[in-house]
Amino acid sequence: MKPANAIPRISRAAKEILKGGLSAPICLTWEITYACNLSCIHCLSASGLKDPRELNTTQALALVDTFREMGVFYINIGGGEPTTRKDFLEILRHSDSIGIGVKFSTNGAFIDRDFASAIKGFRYTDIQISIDGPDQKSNDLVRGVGSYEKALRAMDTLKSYGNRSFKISVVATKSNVRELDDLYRLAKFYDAELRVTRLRPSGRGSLVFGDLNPSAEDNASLYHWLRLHPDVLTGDSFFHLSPLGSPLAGLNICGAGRVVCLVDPIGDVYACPFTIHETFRAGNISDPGGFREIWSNSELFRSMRSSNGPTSCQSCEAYQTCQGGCMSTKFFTGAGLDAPDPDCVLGRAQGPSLVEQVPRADLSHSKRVFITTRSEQTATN
Amino acid sequence: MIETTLRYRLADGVSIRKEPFGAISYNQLTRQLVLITGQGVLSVIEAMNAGECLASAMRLVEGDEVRSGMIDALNGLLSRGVLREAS
Repeated sequence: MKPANAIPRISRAAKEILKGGLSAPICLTWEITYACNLSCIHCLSASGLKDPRELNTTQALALVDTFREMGVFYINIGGGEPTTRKDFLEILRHSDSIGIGVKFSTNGAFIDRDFASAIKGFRYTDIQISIDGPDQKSNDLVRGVGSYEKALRAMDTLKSYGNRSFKISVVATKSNVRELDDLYRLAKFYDAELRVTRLRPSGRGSLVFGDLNPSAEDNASLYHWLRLHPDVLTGDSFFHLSPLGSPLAGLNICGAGRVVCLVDPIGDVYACPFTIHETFRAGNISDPGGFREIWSNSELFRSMRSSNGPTSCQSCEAYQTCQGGCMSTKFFTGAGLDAPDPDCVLGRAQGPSLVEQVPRADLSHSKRVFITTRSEQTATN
Repeated sequence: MIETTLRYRLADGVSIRKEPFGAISYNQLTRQLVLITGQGVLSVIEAMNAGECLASAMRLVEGDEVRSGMIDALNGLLSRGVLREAS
């Protein structure tokens, strides 16, 4: 039987400990490449084109060793599409051999029999297949023509070779929030866990956020659906919805710079995967002291660990459950970090600040594609 | 229930590390995260890893006066699957 969310809820005292930061991340996201065979319209890292400064194999393995020495428990590997790296299996093998867990996200395009066989014996490697709809029409609208078929083929391959259990990872959008039952059934068919996470206005998500972000009514429906399905993982994405009732399982805090962070393909370290912007860049692993020094002593992370949260939320009766919501969502919608979450369920969102310009996401790694939304047609790059 | 004559070790898939407040453990298999507040628990676990039974490990770490809090903490870790009896 697969475990339900193993962190039912944590005490207020434990939350305060975690908000003050840990000696090492509990986990971190490592985007190992910006290269991708797809161009999903909401890609939080705006991936597509490989960066020539991408860490090489030696640098990548050394970074894994650093994570292990620091006691990082597991790494969320993504991209881009991580399986496009020729040394990806080597990175996985090395990580597994030294006891560091890896959960990697993939669109499944390159998961074939050889790959499934190669990772069969890895003890602590989890696979997350990304899809965003329960059928081709719904999924391919967001992830591109042919992507659903590729993802299903990967799942069939993993199931056929009895490899291991895997997860289906979905970003909740206005389009699919009413299709969660179908997605749940799809996951059960494959004996997979379902993981549903929040859409952020990061990367290319910034271009489509207005069209894809769930409405208040959608969010309420989503919250209640998650409460009815405690075996669905959320990556701690939805603590901003907790004031709708009891908190969902998870840490229910913003862990950025405190218990998690992001390392990007060129070794830049950011507060979290949804904040790829200079404002949230803490350093590069090539800086003196490397990742360890950045984690322990960077000015950005120190300030995050001493922060008391958004000032406008402090007096709200719901603050202890929602913690003022998601920093990335506030930042990239122009609401400002001291404001409530733009999706505040108590209706206290303030909208974009009239004083500051809405920050622009870095789209420099995107391929030139046309994104059709209901309101406009936008070319990236 | 913890037996001080026995030796215990981290359960399969569990990693643990020191923190200023005590220690934190994570189980790769169940995704369970446990915060361990208070000093000494990690040292006791490390002593058992080195071959000591629980009673000896606690004496090494705490001397002759064993705090009931230590026993409670270890019982908690046993019941949560962080520790298991060493074969």
